[in-house]
Amino acid sequence: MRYLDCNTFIGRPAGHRPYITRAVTAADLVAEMDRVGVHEAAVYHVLAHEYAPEAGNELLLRELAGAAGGVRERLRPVGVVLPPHTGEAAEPEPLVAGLLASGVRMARIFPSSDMAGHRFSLAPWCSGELLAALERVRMPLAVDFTLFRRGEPPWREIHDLVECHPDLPVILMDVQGRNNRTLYPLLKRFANLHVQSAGFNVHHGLEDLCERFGAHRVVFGSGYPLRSMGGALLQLDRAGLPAADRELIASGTLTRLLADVRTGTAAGADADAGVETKEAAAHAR
Amino acid sequence: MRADAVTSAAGTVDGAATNGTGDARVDHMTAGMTGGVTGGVTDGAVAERASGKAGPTDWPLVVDAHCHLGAFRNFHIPANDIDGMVRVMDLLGVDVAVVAAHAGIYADYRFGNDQVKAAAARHPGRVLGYCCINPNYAAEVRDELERCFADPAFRGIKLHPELHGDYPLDGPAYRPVWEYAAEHRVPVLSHSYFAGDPLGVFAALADEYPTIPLLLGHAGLDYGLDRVVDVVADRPNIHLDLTGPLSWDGVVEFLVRELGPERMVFGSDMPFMNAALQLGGCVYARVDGAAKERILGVNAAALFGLDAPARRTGAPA
Repeated sequence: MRYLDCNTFIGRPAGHRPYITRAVTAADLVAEMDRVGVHEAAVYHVLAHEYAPEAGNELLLRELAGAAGGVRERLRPVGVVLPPHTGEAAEPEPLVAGLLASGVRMARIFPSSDMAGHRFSLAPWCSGELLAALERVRMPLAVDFTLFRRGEPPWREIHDLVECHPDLPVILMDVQGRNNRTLYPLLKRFANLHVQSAGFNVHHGLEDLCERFGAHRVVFGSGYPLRSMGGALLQLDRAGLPAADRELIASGTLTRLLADVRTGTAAGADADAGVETKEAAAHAR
Repeated sequence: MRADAVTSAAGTVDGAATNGTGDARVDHMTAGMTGGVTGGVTDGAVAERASGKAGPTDWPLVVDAHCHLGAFRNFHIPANDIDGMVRVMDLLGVDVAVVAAHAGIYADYRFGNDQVKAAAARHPGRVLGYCCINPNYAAEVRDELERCFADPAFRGIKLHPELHGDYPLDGPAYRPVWEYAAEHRVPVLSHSYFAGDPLGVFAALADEYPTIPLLLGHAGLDYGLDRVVDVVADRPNIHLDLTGPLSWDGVVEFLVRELGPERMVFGSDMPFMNAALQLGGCVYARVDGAAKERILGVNAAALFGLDAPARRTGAPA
């Protein structure tokens, strides 16, 4: 079983008492992956969340470029993005082109309205162009509302996001354990909506979700270094699921989504083939 | 300060070489227990470790000291009956669950206590109970305690002030609980929560009733664990229920380093939350195996009077 963690970061977060007491480097992250048994991780820089996306993204790429052999190739950079209206981020098309040119194949947004997020709306009039640019290249998008414990995401915005951008693979991070009554109808209606595994803190949850919607709708992710990577692994490893389902969750689905990203003209043909594969898989189901 | 039970987070010990079994098979839980493996792990080695299945079921005793049961009003919980819980316990290698029904901590304590009684009867030895009382029905408290503890499956009392109108933990309607628990030396687990009873109230009750094993629900996470350490260090009758904090990387290491493992118990909140996420936070913590044994089961066995592992006794009664 190969594990690809979709939800990790490096850096020095501002305040998470009292357990992170020093900056987490790329090497630290990979050391923890080794200890727990995780092969690869998609990683963003915490400053891209807590300070500014552009600065954080640059730091991430710089740290990964300088990482030792055995570290760099196990980490997949995630670009944190914003809508362009304030000039803090490039226009969507060049922004996405720049990410692709830097080797980034996954994006992340923090659109919540609380202080932990980046305070922008997912409505088409605000984020539509950005989301369309990501959709055109099929770049997986981690959507993080920085929910905690009893949090409830803005359902209307999620609905509009996945409805308006059906070819954009969306991974809902940290959806928490109290939201099935609204999450399930969204999963039923929109095939491009996925759920991060450890953020889905539900008893018998992976089993229930997979039985209803298929294991390809869940993507393994821990939240390390804040959350326990071992906990995330155990949740999946001990779920009452067939090995094939656990394989899809552990890495299969995200690996395919990342491979399907359209990186250019030549790669576009490959990506098209990937889309066909997806359709074939969907048909087979 | 207890540093002896904590292994180095930066350790470069090979899990396979130090598990003490002489078994060449690399087990990912054992790797978590011993504090780390060397870098540069090959895909094959990681895959071998990740395929291991011996983890939690290999612990001598696993007691989940903080469980619930049944439906909860404001969200969907799949497979929330006792059979669904025992299925998860089997998958995770949990031997015993100590259960307070959701109905008990909120909707109707008597209805909930009856659910627990039936669950314990259906899975003898695997399911023990907390008796729940609601201080808003003060005249009924003493009788309900007597009714519950007539059944030996009930081994503790669960209080949940937040869901019972934020009734103060040291208020008069709870006094019969403290008196009964002190008289019979029954463990009392109380929910702790932001904006609820201050940490000082737990400390004062622990001082007033030194014979009561007082379980600080969720280890007082909302107060800040450094403050909790200060309060708990000199009060040997306060025990820390790690339910919830186990989600956070580094909590077990911090608390074991500060307090030692003797007064910590594993809990998951199952089926309110996912038990594996909590269990993984413990079995993968960077503390030694002896500390994990205490946290996972030994400490709870002493608190709840478990004579021997009751693990997997077969079909429901």
